[in-house]
Amino acid sequence: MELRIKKLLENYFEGTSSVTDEQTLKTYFSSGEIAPELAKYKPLFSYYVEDKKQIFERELELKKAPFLRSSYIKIAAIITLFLGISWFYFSTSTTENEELGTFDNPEEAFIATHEALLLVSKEVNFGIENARHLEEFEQSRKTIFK
Amino acid sequence: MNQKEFMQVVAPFQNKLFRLAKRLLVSKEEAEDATQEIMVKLWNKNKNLGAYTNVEAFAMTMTKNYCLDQLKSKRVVNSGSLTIDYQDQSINLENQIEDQNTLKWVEQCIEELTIAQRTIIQLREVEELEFSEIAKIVEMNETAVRVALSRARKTLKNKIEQIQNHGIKN
Repeated sequence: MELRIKKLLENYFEGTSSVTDEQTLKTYFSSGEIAPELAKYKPLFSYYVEDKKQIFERELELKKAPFLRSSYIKIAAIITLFLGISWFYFSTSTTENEELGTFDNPEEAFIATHEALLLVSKEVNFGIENARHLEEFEQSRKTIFK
Repeated sequence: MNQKEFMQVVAPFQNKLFRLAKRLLVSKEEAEDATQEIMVKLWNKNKNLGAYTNVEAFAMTMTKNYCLDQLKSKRVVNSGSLTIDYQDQSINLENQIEDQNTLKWVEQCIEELTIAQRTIIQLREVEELEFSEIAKIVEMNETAVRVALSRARKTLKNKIEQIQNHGIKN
């Protein structure tokens, strides 16, 4: 027995033993009768036997494919964005094509332009008239501060 | 495949995934997180899972790769545990007492091996897989696996002999 175990150990360290051989070694080292000169290897084999007793204790939690869910959201966001941009583009470009009140007759056009400019200049003059009052401030400033 | 069927497929090997993750990541908490993560990944592959003839080997490879990525992202994960106080470990050879302490230093010796060696040790010594199966999981050829395993076993042998002879490292 001991001789056989020694041979198995030799093969074991060379990496030439089979799984069955290694199971024999594990059984031998877990038995109560180990040759004193081989006793030093006992912890190694006991460790492997012990390690296999560890189990996954946590409750498994399978989330519904998070990647898939997020990619749907991404696709939805892209479509929404695209629709938004195209809506904005079409709504602005149609106003550009709308009738802007052009005149076919140049005389009519001249009169209309003239009226429009007159209206603008009238408003501007009104603004300037009010600004003239500022000159009084300027004068009083000069009398006070020399 | 519904959730119940999926659970039945993964049940036989989920502990193996966990133990492999623990061997590589050391911390139990991190190993549990990794196992959970791999299960979710597998569940998401659900529809294609039938295409794999060996779901277990596939899951083991995924676990190995996942753990390697985890280790890469924080390289100095367990540098603290590498300083082992061997003097504390008084080994009672006369009585053949096998306490938690003894198992602890075997674990620490294994932790000092390379990542590839640890993976192979776990798959062979604990899970008792054949070389052909291990070769697939670690993506190496069988000869390379055999050589790495032999080297790892010899390293452990030397460490154990040193500790048992002197009670001190080196």
